[in-house]
Amino acid sequence: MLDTTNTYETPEGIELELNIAGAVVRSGAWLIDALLRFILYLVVATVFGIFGKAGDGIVLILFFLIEWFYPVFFELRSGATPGKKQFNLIVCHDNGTPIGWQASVTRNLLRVADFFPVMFGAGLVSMLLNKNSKRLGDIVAGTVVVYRQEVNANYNIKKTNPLALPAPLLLEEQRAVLDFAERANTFSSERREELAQLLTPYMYMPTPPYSNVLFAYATDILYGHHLATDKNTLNPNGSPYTLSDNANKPASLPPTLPPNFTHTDNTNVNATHKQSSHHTHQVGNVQTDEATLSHKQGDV
Amino acid sequence: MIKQHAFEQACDSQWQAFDRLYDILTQSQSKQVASVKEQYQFPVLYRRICQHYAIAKQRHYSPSLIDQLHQRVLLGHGLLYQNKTAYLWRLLMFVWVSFPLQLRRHWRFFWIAMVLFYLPAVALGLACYFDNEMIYSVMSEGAVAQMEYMYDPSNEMIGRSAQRQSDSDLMMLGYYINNNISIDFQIYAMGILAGLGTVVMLVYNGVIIGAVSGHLTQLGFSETFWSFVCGHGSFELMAAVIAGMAGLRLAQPLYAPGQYKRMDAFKLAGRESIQLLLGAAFMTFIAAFIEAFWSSSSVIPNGVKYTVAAVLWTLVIAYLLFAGRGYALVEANLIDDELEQHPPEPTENDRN
Repeated sequence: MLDTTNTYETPEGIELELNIAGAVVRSGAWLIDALLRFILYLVVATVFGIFGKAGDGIVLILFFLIEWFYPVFFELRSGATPGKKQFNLIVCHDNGTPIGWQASVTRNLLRVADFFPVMFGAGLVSMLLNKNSKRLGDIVAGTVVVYRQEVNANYNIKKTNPLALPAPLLLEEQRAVLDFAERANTFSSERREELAQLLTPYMYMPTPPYSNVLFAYATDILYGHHLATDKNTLNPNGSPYTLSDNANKPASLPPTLPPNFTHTDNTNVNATHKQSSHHTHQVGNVQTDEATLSHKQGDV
Repeated sequence: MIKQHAFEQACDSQWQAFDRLYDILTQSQSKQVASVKEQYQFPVLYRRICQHYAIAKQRHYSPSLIDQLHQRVLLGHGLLYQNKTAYLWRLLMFVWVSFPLQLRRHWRFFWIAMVLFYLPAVALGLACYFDNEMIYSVMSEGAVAQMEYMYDPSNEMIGRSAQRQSDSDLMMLGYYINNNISIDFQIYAMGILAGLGTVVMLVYNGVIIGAVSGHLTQLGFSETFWSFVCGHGSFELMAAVIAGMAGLRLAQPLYAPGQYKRMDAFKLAGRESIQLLLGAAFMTFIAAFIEAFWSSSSVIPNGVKYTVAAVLWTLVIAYLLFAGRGYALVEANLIDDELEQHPPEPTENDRN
C-alpha cells in the first residue's frame, strides 16, 4: 500500500485525485494545534480571570468550547485547523467535497475515542489499518485528510524554435522534459547544462548546448513545431497518441533516430502508450475525440 | 490532434468564465451577486471543464496544464456537490422533528440505555439506603464526606444558602456546561470502542448517582437533596441516557452492519447517532441553566420546586413522545446530501 493517492469518480466520469495524509504529518499538525490551544487557554484564563467568579464561569464555558469545537470552527471556515494549514493539509468528505458541520462535529467529538487509551493509541491503530489512513472519527464521519493541491499556475517555458521530438514520449517522459523547462530558471546555467547532458545517451540531442535542445523539445510539446497559432493545425489523421507527425519535421534535422529508440512505427507506439495508460490515469466516460471538442468550441 | 497551445487558446475564455463565476459564488461578502441565470451557468461550465480535463489528460498535454484543470475540477466539484445549509431553519427542524423522530426510531437502543443506567442506579440506591456503609464500596471516603457536607441541611454557607451571590451562579453555570456536556460527549464517543466504553460509562454514572441518592436519603437529607436535583434531573438524566443510546447506535455496525459494507454502516451510524447526541447535548445545556439558577435557589419553597419539577418531567416526556408527529423522518442515507439540493426556480426576470 505504498500509493497514497485515493481516487473518487465524480458523476461527470472524472476521477478526482486525493493525496492522503499519513499519521506522521498529522501528528505534526496536531502538535501545532495543541500548542495554539494551550496559548488560547492561557489567554482566556488570564483575561476573564480578572472578573472573579462570574469570570470563572465564562472561562469554563470557553474552555469547553475550545476543547471540543476548536477544530470544528476552523474546519468549517477553511477546511483545516491552523496546524493542518501549516502542513498544507485539508479535511474533506470522502467524495472530495468541503467538510460540512455534521461530519466535522462527528469526527472531532470522536477524538476522545481515538485518544484512548493514551496519546491516540486507538486512532493510530485505526490509521495504520485503514488504507485511507483514517482515524476512528474519520471512518464514522466519512472524512479524509488530504494534501491541498498546489498549482503551479504560471508555467513559464522559454519559447524557442521548436524541434520535433525524435520519437513519441510517454506522459511521464514529457512531464520530465516540461518540468525541466519550467524549472530551468531556478538552476545556474552550468547546472542546467549538466542535467540536460545526462539525457544524451538516451535521447537524440543534436548539438550542445543541450539545455537549448530540451527547450526546443518542450516548445514542440507545447506549441507544435511550427509554433501553432490557431486551431487550424489539426492533424486530420492524428491519433491521440501521436505527439508529432514526421511529415512536418524541419528539413534541417536528420530524420534518423538514436539506436535506443525502437518504437518508430505507429502501431508500436500505440501499444506502448496503451500499456502505459494502465499505470497513468484512466479517463472516464467522457468523449475525447476531435469532433466533440470542435463541437464544444462551436458552443462558446 | 490539436497542439496544447491551440487547445489553450480555444478553451481559455471558458476557463476564465469558470474562475470568475467560482469567485462570485464562493465569496459571501462579494459585491457582485450571481444572478440565477449565472448560477445555472455554473454546472454547464463545470462539465465543460471536466471534459477539457479528460481531453488534456488523454492527449498528454503538459503536466501543469493538467494540474490546473484538475484543480478547477476539484473546486467545481466541491462547490457543486457540497451540502447546503440554512442554519436557523435546520436547527428548528432538528429540535422539533429530526431529533425526536430519530429517537423514537431507535427506541430499542433507548430502552437498553435506560436499563444500563437505571438498573444499577436503583440497585445501588436501595443498597445504600438500607446499608449506610455500602456507599464506601463505590466512592472514596473524601468524596463521600464532601458530598454529605454539600447537602447537609444544617450547613448554611454552601450551595443553596441565601448568601450565595449571582456571580457564583454564573460560575456554576460554566461548570455544569463544561462538565455535564463533556460527560455526554464521552459517553457517546467511547461507543466506537465496540460499545464497551458507553456501557461502562452508563453503568458507572448510574452506580454513583444511585448510591449518592440512597445514601443521602438514608441520612435524612431528603429535603435539600431531592428538591435540588428533581428539577434539572428531568433534562439531565434523560440526556445522559440519550447520549448512551447514541453511543450504542454508533457501536451497532460492528455487530450488525445490516445490508451495508461495514465501513458504510459506520458512516450511516455516525450520521444518525450524531443527531441523537446533539439533541442530548442541547437538553444538557438547558439542564445547566435550570441547575445553576433555579435548583440552587434557596428562596424558592420546596413545594414550588417539586411542582415545577413535575411539570418539567411531563414536558420532557411529552416532547420525546409527541414532537414531530406527522412529519416523515428523512432517512439518513449515504447520498441524502446530494438529494437535498433543490436549485431555486428561475424567476421571470432571470429568464429574460
